[in-house]
Amino acid sequence: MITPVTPPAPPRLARWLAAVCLRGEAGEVIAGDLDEEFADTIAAGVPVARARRRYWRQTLASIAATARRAKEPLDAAPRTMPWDGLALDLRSVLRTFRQSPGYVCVATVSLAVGIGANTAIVSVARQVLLARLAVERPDELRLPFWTIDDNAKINIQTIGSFGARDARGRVLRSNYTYTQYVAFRAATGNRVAGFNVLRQMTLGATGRPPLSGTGLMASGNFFDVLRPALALGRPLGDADDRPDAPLAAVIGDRLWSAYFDRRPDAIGKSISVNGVQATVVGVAGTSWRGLSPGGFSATPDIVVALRQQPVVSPEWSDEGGPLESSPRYWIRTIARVPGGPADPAAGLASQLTAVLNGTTGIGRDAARSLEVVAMPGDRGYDSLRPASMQPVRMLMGVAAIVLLIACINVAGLMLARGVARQKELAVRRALGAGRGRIVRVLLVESALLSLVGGAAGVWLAILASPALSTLVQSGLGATAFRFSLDLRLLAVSLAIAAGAGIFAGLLPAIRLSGGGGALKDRAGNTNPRLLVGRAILAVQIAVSLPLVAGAGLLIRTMVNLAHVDLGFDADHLVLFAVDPTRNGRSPERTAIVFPQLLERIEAIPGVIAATLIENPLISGFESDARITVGGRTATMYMNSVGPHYFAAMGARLLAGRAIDERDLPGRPIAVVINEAASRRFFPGDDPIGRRFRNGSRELEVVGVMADAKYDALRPAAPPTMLFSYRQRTMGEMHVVVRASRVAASLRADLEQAVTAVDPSLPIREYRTQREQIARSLGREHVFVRLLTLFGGFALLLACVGLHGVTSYSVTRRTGEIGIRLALGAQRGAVLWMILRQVVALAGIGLVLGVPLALLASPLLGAFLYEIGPRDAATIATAAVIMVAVAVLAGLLPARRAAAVDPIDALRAE
Amino acid sequence: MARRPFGEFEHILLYAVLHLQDHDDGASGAAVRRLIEARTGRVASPGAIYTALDRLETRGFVRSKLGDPTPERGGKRKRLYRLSAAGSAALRDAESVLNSMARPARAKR
Repeated sequence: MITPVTPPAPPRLARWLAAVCLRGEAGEVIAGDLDEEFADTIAAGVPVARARRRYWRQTLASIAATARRAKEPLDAAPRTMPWDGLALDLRSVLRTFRQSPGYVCVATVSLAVGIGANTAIVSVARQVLLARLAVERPDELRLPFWTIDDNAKINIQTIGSFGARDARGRVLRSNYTYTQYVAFRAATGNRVAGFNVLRQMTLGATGRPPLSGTGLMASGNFFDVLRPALALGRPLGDADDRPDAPLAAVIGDRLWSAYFDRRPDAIGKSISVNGVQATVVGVAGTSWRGLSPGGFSATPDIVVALRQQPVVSPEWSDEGGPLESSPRYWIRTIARVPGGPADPAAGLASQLTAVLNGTTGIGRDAARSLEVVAMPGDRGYDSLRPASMQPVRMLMGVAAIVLLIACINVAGLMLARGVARQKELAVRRALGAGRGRIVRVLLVESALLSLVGGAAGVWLAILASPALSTLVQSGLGATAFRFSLDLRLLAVSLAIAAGAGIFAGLLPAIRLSGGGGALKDRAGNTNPRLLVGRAILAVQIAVSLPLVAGAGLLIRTMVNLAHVDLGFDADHLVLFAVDPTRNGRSPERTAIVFPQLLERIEAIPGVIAATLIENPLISGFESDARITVGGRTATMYMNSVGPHYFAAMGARLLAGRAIDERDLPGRPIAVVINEAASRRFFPGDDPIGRRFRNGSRELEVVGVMADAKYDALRPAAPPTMLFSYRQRTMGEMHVVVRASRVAASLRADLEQAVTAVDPSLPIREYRTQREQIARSLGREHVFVRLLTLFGGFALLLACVGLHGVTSYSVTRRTGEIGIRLALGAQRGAVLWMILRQVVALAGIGLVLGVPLALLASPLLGAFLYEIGPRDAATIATAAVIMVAVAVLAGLLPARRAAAVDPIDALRAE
Repeated sequence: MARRPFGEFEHILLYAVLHLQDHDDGASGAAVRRLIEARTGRVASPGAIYTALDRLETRGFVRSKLGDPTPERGGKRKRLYRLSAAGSAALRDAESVLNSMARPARAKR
């Protein structure tokens, strides 16, 4: 009988050991392999005993290998592949975000405001403060100004001059006579070019509506000196700069788009320039900004040759003759000095000084101090506008503070979270998470927050850009400014904010590495992390104070400005501009149009009186004249007006008569002066009937009026005289109408009156006097809004921070509070115990913040009105507001502390 | 030159997997062990084989799946391995590094 041979089996004990030590799937696979190997060995004819010994060896070796593998640290894999498990971390971070939406919200908003405000404002600042001319090698450009001893007596007439001061405070004058410019050009081998600015031109093309624009008259070598890029055609040359040459024009991008739809066939086409036909020979590139890369003056729409002045701007000529042969100072110059900034510009300056002394018409006394200064021209005229820079600097300061507050706030938040999460992190660590892994989770959290905050910041910056553009355009006068976001700056702001967040976020991880203890950490009274959090809050309060104080100063300025005594009645006044002469042509039309127009307007029901005014009041515009009174020369402000001026403006005539219909050309020139002029020029005398001179004209004082504000709200009324518009012919005048009706309902009637006089006459700039005043305060309004917004933001963040720290402290001290209450402490005392910390924190913040505010507020100096930048009451109010807000923030958790039930608290203990 | 991302034993393992992966549904641990023993005379325990393969798998050089239970293994399942794209690439890299060192050195001798 054959009995089946039972195949030899592996040792049972070894098998059991493998089953116990090697569990799960991996264990099953290994056990299977061990059995298979045993079977193979037997099949290969190895004696059973050896096969069994081998089985034992392999089993023990497998157990050992598996145990070694299990002991390998979990983070060994990420060390080779750093992104392993990142998705897991991300999920964990998102989960914690979902659990604390308030924290995420506050952090995101503060990052967004900090990053957004900073990026937007610094983008603007870079564009306005640092923009260079988009021309070939702008470093080589110089602007030759001349300067003269302030006491020197000079009597010159200028047109379109640009005044500035150099570092030594000397007045720099931009304009030269044509003869001087020609001499400059000859002496420097064509390196000096001449030009002048044409404002308010009427431009047209057949079949297109007329446009009003600005332009340049430039010498034949202007394009050769400046070297701007052209999109099409050729620049102007010396052949164009001759009186007998056909009128040729290089046009700008705006005109090219409006009239030729940016088509290349614009070259050779005809356009009208102040009513004269000109041929387009070239089109400037899109980077063309004239001589103001920051957009402070309108981009010239058109460039024509200098010697075409009698054709395009005949109203400038003396008695019909061209300006070239006149002693008037009407040419600005620009020079190119090869060699860039290294070349001593002094060479050019001394060369031109010598030329100027040889040609000048200025008196011999003055010539001794006459000097040409070559200012850097790489930024055109923009570098000579320090007044425009100050608000930008202030804004940059505010933006920096806001970013700082945002950083501090995020750091504080991360710290507070770090404290709250110490236990969680300790548990993670105890479960075997490497420090690298914990740091990575914190990093992911910070990075994610920064990303979300940064995205929101970009959105905010884009949202704010129209407002900022308006601010720059109206507030700084950079009318041609266009906002664009600077992405590099965005990256820098983002990096700063993220850096602060990451730094603060990592602190708990660093602390953890100092050894355990966090797990068994119980209610210790002082926690170092909390101390840092408190210090951060104090700094935050300190930094917020200047913002709040600044907002307060500006608000008080606005209140002061709203209550200024104007000297006239600004209510119920409507203004609009009318120009019957259209850019200086047929000046006799003013005498026909205006009297008829005023008569018709005064016949409209509800109209009380109407008059004309050259420069509307509080519009920023003024005219002035050099006058000679009793041998003394001085400057007096002047304004051309129509009849019924006092009735219409609600101003007061104190003595004599007003300007009226009698004051016509050919009659003695009558002026009404104000009290300031009377006090200054005729002290102690009755000025009525007195005479003084303005150039070759003799003026007679016929009346005295009360002082009234003229061009601006802030300065006191300057010495001013009123002329009749008939005796000093102007083109455009503003019609002022006092009516008992609403301004909007009046418009149609006024337009009808204008049309009845001349159907082709458009109305411009229709507004009320109140709107005019508000517009003049545009810059202040924007600053008040910005500072109030940022100040409020700073307050809110401080509030959130204080609330957070106080809540946390109350939570930690619940047990202690329970014991105190159980031992008979009054609830009021507990409330104060908690609030005391908040008040102390606010106090420390103020001790730091008040000097900061005193230091920063002079930055606001130029904007303030009838209040000092260090106004004690305002800063004190700001401090009180800060403390009040701090107490409010602390009150909620403090009340929670006072309401603790001692039984519950002790039971929890 | 990139650091070799695996040690010598792992290198050998990768070759074994490459060699065996198309025989069956993939290279089994037992087959890999047999091949290594036959070619190199080195005796490796199944535990060592699997932990090394497991390490290679976490680094993305091999992929694995569980096979069906078979009677000769006492109804136990086996794990079948294949090289991943990263594994093939790493193997090729290591090869070319060794070759670039070896060839000139031999030529000189």
